[in-house]
Amino acid sequence: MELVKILRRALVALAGAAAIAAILRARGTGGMSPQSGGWRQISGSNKF
Amino acid sequence: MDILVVGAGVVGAGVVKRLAESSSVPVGRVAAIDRNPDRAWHLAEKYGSPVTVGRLEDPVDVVVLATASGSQARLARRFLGSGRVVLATSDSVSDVRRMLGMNGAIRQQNSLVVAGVGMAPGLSDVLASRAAEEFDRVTEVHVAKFGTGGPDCARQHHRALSSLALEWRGGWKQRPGGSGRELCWFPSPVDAADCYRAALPDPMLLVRKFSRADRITARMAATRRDRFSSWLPMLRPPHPEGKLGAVRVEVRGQRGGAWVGRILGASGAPGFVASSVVMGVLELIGAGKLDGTGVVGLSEVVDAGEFLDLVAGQGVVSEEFAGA
Repeated sequence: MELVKILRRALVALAGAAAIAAILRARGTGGMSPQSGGWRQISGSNKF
Repeated sequence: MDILVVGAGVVGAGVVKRLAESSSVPVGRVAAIDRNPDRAWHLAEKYGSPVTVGRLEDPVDVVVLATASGSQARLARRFLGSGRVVLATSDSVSDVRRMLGMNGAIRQQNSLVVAGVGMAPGLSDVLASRAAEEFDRVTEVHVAKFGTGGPDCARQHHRALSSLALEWRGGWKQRPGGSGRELCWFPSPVDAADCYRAALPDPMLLVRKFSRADRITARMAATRRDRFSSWLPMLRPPHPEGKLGAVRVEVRGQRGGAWVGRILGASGAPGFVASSVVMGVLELIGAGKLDGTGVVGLSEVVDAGEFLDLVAGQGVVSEEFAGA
């Protein structure tokens, strides 16, 4: 009985942590870093 | 143009080699000095005219300091002379700070000292300047570098990671070296690497150009083992020459009322990149396009676009990260 209680608490804690992480990830204000792209050569005389 | 190259390590020997083979720099004489005289003799024997073994008292037009970081401010003071240009390749905070502190004395001597003529500082400053060209306002400049040149450069890398890092946040802040891990993407073949704060002089030179920026930082790539062992003496002898290197500069700011960012970089063995940067500056001096007195950073005295083309001619191509 005691073991089941511990397991249940652990599962609740894990689910809570996952929910908080999901909310922070979705609502985070850090901006999205580039997900695609790459390096291309430039020359000094080219205008951007 | 007579040139004295002080230090015949990876960078110094690279500069001597390129000058001996160069047709783009009007060379009269190239004199080489090293604390180990055999090295200078070896270079003179290997390349022949115009390379000779030099002396500290030689009357030359340009002095290239390619000695270990930490020794160059003292040497720069020694080589001051009317109309003489001194190019310092040091990436030591103390060297750059002391050189900047000598500005008044150097102006009085009618000399020009260019502090930070290497991969970073040096090429990094010019890349930042180029990236910021079309910005109305620059708010942040972040420099990251990967790799080391010769053994002295590797020792400086080791020291830098355990020393206090300088950051500009509208004023100077000191942060612990080895902190602030950030995953940075460099041009290939380096690609991604974890970078950390370290005692790097780039912000001290960049703030002269971007004095209104809110943040100017510099980081360098290191492994977890580098961080762990940075407070110990080097556990094994440094490699003779680092073959892999890169520099990356991210500039953020405003253009036309919108927030924009631009990332430029370049890759190559750090010793090769540093000697390419020195050659680019020597080409400008030879063409009479570099003048002034006092102590300056590289980006203050060169046109960024023109300089990047000169360095590309030496084999170091600049790249821009285009992402979405």
